[in-house]
Amino acid sequence: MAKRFAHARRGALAAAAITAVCVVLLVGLLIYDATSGRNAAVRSTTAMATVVTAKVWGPAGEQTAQDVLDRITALDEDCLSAYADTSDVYRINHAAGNPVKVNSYTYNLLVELLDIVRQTNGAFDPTIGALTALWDIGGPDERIPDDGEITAALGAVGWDKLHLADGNVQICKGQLLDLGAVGKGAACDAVHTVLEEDEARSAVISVGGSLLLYGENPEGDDWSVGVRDPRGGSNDRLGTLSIGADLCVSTSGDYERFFEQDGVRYCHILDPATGRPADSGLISVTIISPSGLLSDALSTACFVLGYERSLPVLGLFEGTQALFVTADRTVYVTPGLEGRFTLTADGYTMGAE
Amino acid sequence: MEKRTRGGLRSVTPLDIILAVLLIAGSFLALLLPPALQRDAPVTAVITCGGEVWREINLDEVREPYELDLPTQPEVTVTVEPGSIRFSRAGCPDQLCVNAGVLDAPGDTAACLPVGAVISLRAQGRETDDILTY
Repeated sequence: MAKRFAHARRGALAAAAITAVCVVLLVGLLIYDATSGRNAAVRSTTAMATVVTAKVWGPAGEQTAQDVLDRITALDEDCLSAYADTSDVYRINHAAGNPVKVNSYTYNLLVELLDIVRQTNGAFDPTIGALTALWDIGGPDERIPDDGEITAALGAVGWDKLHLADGNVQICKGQLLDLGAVGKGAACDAVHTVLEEDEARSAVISVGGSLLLYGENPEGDDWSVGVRDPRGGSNDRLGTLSIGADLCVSTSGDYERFFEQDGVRYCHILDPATGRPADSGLISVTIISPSGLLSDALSTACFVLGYERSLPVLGLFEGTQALFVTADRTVYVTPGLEGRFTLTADGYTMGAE
Repeated sequence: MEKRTRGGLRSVTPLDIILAVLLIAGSFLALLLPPALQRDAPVTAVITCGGEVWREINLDEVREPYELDLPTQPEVTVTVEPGSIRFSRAGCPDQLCVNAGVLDAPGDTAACLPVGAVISLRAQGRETDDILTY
């Protein structure tokens, strides 16, 4: 009897021990799964008049994703917005041509931007605001201005009239700064610091379609970036780019904001030389670069320049690659993207170099 | 010859313990799998208003269509259907959110910017791409 009881007790103890081990194992795995950051934290909001999404892998993914969104919102309100009266750009545009003391971020951004403008020979011009306001494409007052109005507005455009000195920014009376073409890319650069400080392992940040691909893809492959079909719906893909770590991507196209009149599409990307919507034969340009500011500025400049005239400009910027889509639905890629783009949409063909 | 206790169960042997641990550990392996190998993750529509998640809807579990009025001004209405979601009515002037149409694939996104509302479809491991540039 005593022996049977001893056997039973040993059996019960063994079962209890196994159960305890399993519980400890399960709790440990659950804690690991929750805190290791191997699953991405995803947050979205609207800022800079667009959708901003942060997908972050790391030990504090949720907080880091929120920090990213907060940083972008603050950047817009403090520096880049043309509408928030707290922003440097707003204050510059409302200073009636007087110098305005701005924060160091805005000042340094404009210094870097002017260097890009010079190298593109003004194909991108941040002082195009008067023309942007005149056409108001995508806004309630969009229309085709007459030639006299365009000529008058062109008189207020000119990056060489933008004066930077000792932390002050000065534009000519009547000029308007418009950083809408570079703000999203600049925001991608700004959140790079947030990700580093928060020790994120990897992240994918989208600011209105301008992207930061931070770190390696946790699944081991290159990042897979869909390129929007310029003639499809808002979630339709032209194809997919395979891109490595720590790069930025920006796209400019004639499909985001436009109106059509008498069968002609008038898109929001204006040519600083003509004062009219760019008519270069392109419907979309995607730029890949280590710099978000550069990718965004060059996507606009190349859209204005067109495919042929863009190639020598791209050659000035090391590590920069491009994908072009022409109006006849031919897709061209620069040599660095050979084998990295898979065309999936119907109705397009890959062009020869 | 086996010895049996009063309950009819034989004694637990070391082999039994090893086998039990292996079986149970094996069942936990799913937690250690990379997310990409976790197939059949549900498609979840995440509705965000003003930067905060307002509702998450498992579209794979929707059986009948229904509407949701977002807590926004102007008013915005979302229609949820089996496997899809869309902005169906909006008081904003440009109607871009409504014109975005049906969202039914992981990675699809639409927004009503005037009210700060975003709908994103997520399904870990089932997205076509990591992200879309546009």
